[in-house]
Amino acid sequence: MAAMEFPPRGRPTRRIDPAALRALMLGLLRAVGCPQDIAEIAAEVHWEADLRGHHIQGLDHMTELVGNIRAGRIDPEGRPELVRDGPAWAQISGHNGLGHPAGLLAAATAVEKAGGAGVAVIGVKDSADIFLVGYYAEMIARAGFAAVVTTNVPPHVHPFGGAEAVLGTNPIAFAFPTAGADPVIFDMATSVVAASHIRQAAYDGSPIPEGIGVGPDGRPSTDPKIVEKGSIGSMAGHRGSGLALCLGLLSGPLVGAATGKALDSWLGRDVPHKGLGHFLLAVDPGIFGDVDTFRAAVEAHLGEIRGARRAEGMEHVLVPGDRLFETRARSLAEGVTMYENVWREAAKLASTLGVEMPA
Amino acid sequence: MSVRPTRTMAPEVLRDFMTRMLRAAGCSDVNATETAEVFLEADLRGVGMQGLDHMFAMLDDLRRGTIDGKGRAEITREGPATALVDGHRGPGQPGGVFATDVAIRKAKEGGCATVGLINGADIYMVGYYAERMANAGLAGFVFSAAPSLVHPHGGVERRLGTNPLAIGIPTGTDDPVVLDMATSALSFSRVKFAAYHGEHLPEGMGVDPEGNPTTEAAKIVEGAIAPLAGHKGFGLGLCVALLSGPLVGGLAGKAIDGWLSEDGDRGVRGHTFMAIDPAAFGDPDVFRSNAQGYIDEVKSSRKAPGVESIRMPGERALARRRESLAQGVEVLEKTWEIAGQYAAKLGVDVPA
Repeated sequence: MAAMEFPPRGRPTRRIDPAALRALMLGLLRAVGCPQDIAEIAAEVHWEADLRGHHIQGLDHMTELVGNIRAGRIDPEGRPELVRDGPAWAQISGHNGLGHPAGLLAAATAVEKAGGAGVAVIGVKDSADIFLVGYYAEMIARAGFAAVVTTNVPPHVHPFGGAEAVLGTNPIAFAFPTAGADPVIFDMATSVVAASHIRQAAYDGSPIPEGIGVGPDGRPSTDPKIVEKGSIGSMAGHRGSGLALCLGLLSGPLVGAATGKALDSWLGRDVPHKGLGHFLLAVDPGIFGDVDTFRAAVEAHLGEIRGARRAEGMEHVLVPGDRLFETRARSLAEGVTMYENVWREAAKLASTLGVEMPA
Repeated sequence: MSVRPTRTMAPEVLRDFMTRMLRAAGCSDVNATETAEVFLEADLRGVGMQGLDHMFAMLDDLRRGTIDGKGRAEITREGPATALVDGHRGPGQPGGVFATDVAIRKAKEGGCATVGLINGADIYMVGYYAERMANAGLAGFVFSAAPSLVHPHGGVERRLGTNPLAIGIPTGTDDPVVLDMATSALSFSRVKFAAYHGEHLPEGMGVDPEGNPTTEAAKIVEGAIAPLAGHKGFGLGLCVALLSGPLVGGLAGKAIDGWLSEDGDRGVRGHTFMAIDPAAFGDPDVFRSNAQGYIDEVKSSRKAPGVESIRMPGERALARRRESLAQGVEVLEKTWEIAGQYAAKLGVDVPA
């Protein structure tokens, strides 16, 4: 059987006015008790995701986020706080609030500390999802530093050789300043696909390719509604599985946060708080040598990769992030592309909360 | 897969043989001893990967003078949480161990540390250094930029190294978690060993020099290895290159490709070592017990049909190491044959 494209292309979409989309996100968060400043920070992250075409972290996550706030697992008024630190590290507590402000404070702290010590490791505990990990890495890179950001996620993934959800999709993002205006940003889940792709497929009940997931009985399934109750595999077998485990340990136990079954999951296990942890690392290239030489060496490597002979049928060889800022500019100018099924789900949520949908 | 003939020998015999070869090729006693130790540790963990078979390239570089057998690493710049180490063109492993130990010391003092190593040739088994940090009670990262053997996602020409990364994490037992992975579909050793035996690899592992997909290992050695899992391994490999090359003052990509050729320019290679002290974030014993709790949870989770155990990163390597120490270390006959040729040239006695 020919490999099935996943997520499939050609799903019905609509264009949304960027300002209206942002207002909708803000309205949804305000409706469940987020103070204006926290709602703005969180809306910004999801808005940026949709602008960049990274729709799995955009409006589509509002239902889950709002659900967690309403269930009391996230305190809409919880504010992050730096609880302990040294010259090159800090621990931040999210105080069970939204993850976005905690992620933002962590990135800002990483920049400040790395500016002094040359390197910084920031751990965040008692937090909730930070969603677009590349967003925080980008902040650090725009300050001139190399960035690594990772986070633990409730278990949706079975380990290599396993058939039960015990690992998170534990994403990792890297970002580097370049000689140009925009950093290079790479952001990936360590699972075979991001869990959100399964959720989106489940909206319409469209099948997912073989080899991605298993049901709650551990048996392979192509039905997203069954896989949602089971687990998905790791990227690249044992290597992705090992990477997910390590990232779970770094953004969990290492920084004083929970991991694994202590977290809730899409299985609907109830936990009092999200309890997620995040790990951010920033390194100043200037500590090792000349910054311009660093930026030029990065640019040279990117250039030689883009110039590689292309595989048959490929139009470009792209480096991570190449299309990101183009897409963002187009979304701002021409409207944000939105999947119809995501829009439908958002409309349901808005109606529950008495928030008006944009025309 | 064809049968790959191997031989088994006492670890101390292999160590001694490698030490003598390195000394004969111009290494100082201390460099020969420290280098052979890391090569041996690789052979103990699995057939040849990063071990004796990888020593031949170093012997060539020692002969050409592109590696200085007497070069010793030293710190050239430092801050409380950072250091730049110059390997002074010595063999990679002593420089790697030195940089690792600087990272450990600084992280224990200041909570975390990042150390760059330049002019340090190839450090080979990156997991060794990450394991060393974990054995010191720290979380460790090692990133290493290698010369180009891998094509980018969407491309068919060598542009990236197999750029490995390693992560070491202490646990509640004496065995740390040690992830050591190439960001290519297969490590170069695996492709090369398959080529030694005229084997075919599964589809999708690489292309021939013309850019056509092939399963013939020997053609992939000449062509390019695929990135791991398509765009993900490609992106990861690129980030490893930037973290370990340009970030610390080294180079990446074509600028270090001379390391693969007889007389090419040996561009400055870089490696990055990071260590983080769990004690900065809380009680290290609580950390260890939470880490172990999670590992136990994963290990005891339901297994797929036919699977006996869910292994942690590094588990098999450490089990194999114990086995090799007890029963002898396995070396490919093909590797041994090449070692014999090098020994003859260097005038070194081959162990019986």
